[in-house]
Amino acid sequence: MIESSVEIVIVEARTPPPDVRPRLWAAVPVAVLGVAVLLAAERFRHGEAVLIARLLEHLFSRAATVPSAAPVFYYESMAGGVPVWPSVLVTGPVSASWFMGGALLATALMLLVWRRAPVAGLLVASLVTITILGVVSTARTVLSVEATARWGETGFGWMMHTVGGPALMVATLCFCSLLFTPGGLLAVARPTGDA
Amino acid sequence: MPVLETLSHVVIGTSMAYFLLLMGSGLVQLRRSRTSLGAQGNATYGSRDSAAHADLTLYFLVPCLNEEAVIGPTVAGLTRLAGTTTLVIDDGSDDDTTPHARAAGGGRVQVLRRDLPDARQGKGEALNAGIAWVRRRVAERGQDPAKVIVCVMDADGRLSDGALDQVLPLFANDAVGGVQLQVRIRNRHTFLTRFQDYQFWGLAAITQFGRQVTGTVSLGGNGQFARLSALDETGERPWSASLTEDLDLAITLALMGWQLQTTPHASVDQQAVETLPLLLKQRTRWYQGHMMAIGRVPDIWRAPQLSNARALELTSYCLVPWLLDLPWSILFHYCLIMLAINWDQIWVVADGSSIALTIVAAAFYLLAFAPALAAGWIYHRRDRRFALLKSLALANSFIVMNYISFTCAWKALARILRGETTWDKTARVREAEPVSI
Repeated sequence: MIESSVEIVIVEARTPPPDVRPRLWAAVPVAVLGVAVLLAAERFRHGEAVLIARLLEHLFSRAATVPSAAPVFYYESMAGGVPVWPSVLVTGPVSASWFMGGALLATALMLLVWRRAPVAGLLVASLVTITILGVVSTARTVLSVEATARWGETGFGWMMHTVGGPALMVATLCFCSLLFTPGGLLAVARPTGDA
Repeated sequence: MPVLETLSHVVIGTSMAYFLLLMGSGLVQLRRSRTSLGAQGNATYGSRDSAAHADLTLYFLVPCLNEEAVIGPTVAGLTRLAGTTTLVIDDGSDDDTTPHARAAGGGRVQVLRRDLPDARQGKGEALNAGIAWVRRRVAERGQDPAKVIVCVMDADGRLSDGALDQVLPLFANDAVGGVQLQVRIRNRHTFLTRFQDYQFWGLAAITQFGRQVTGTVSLGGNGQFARLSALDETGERPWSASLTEDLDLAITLALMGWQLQTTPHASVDQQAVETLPLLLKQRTRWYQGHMMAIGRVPDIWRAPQLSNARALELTSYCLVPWLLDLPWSILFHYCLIMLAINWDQIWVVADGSSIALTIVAAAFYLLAFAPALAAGWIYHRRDRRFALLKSLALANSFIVMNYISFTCAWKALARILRGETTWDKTARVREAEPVSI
């Protein structure tokens, strides 16, 4: 038998470090969008006022309008058989801007630090949770206005300051956290490319 | 202030999600294993012999510093377990710890005496000295480290009767590197000690069952079982100089791919601290160690052998004091102030009706206290000898007892910022007779 004089040396293959550029390209615009939402809060709230007015008209057949650039909408109601037009100012505490802007910034942070999950998964999970937050926040205000129109200040209090307010938003945030976990955080990124 | 209001909602919402995930997972695990919440509820401790395991050998490490008050019954309980070796590590005691240990264990207990300057460098160093002793014995006896289990017991700790029959079979899975037992407080005869039992037995135990899913059960300082080969993999000194060397070890083992498990069918009992100043001191040390574990988070994120679920669970555990405890200690007071300022809104909502006011008050109470009520119910089911109403009342006291957590978290932060890392150990209570419930 001829013995080989060649020594075989096994070199452990090293996995190249993941390319973080795709994540940076995704994180930066998301962060910019989040900051924009927070900085342009008044304009965002104006948009919410317009949306709420439209929803009051289409869902409850209640005339509503936003006559200026301020985040104020007027809706038609009846007081003693006489039509009146109360106004509602969409303030910071009832606006979704802080939740959505904050969620966008948190997503940008996750894209950079939680490289275990794919970019697409994090973005989709973020989009879903931000949409839910926006929908619930808007629904809260729409239902509060409708409750006010029907039952006066008591109705507004029930919807905005008790059941509809803290309970609904806390429950929504809890639900969104639970939803974001499997969809955004537990998905596995491919070992190369999408880091 | 919309920022604070938003932050309050976020902290409450994510805390709720974390609570639901862990507690829910724990309850599901119990159901899957067809185990009732009350398993071990009326367990007895340290009073029965047990037979040696067919394959595994067990070494008990009992680090001690001035433990003469409690070491005797502990050693007596451990040395009656066949197939085990008990090593008391006397870390420079200046009381009669060693004589008491020898009197209790006779020829069945080994004592490793450490003197200054090596002694009193922390529990981790004492355990490292103990493991060096174990490694020498294992080598002398020609034992396979993969079949040697090391159990860390506090000087006041006692295993539930039959514990080894439940714990050792878990190591039949070669992937299991460690097992942590749930903790029962023995001297639960005052409100303060009973509340500590509620935290350990009612809350922590269930969340630990939940961590079985990810195999990231957190290790504690008492009733901590580890496979010797897993400890060997961590290096010469498995227990670090961290203030919570057990948490540090758990993270290290998990990073190496070892599973960390528990069982609802065994437990360890120990003393709780009986005075508020001592409790504050103990919990501040624990908080400091827990908070400093944040330094391991980058390792967790980078570890390729960790699944996302395991990495997420470990990360969450490390970040809880920073993202939940500390912020909530401030936001809680903001919420209280807002409630006081807007108190008149509740009258508006009730519209002068006392029934409506009662409903509103009840709704707020249920919303704010729902997790506590759930935990109180669970605590009652864990040991039905403690009445349901008492359990619920105990759980409701969290609103006040949280101030212990708040205080300790901020004190720990201050110590971290000042670079203070040395601590005195927890003082023991001499027990004259068995405690009745």
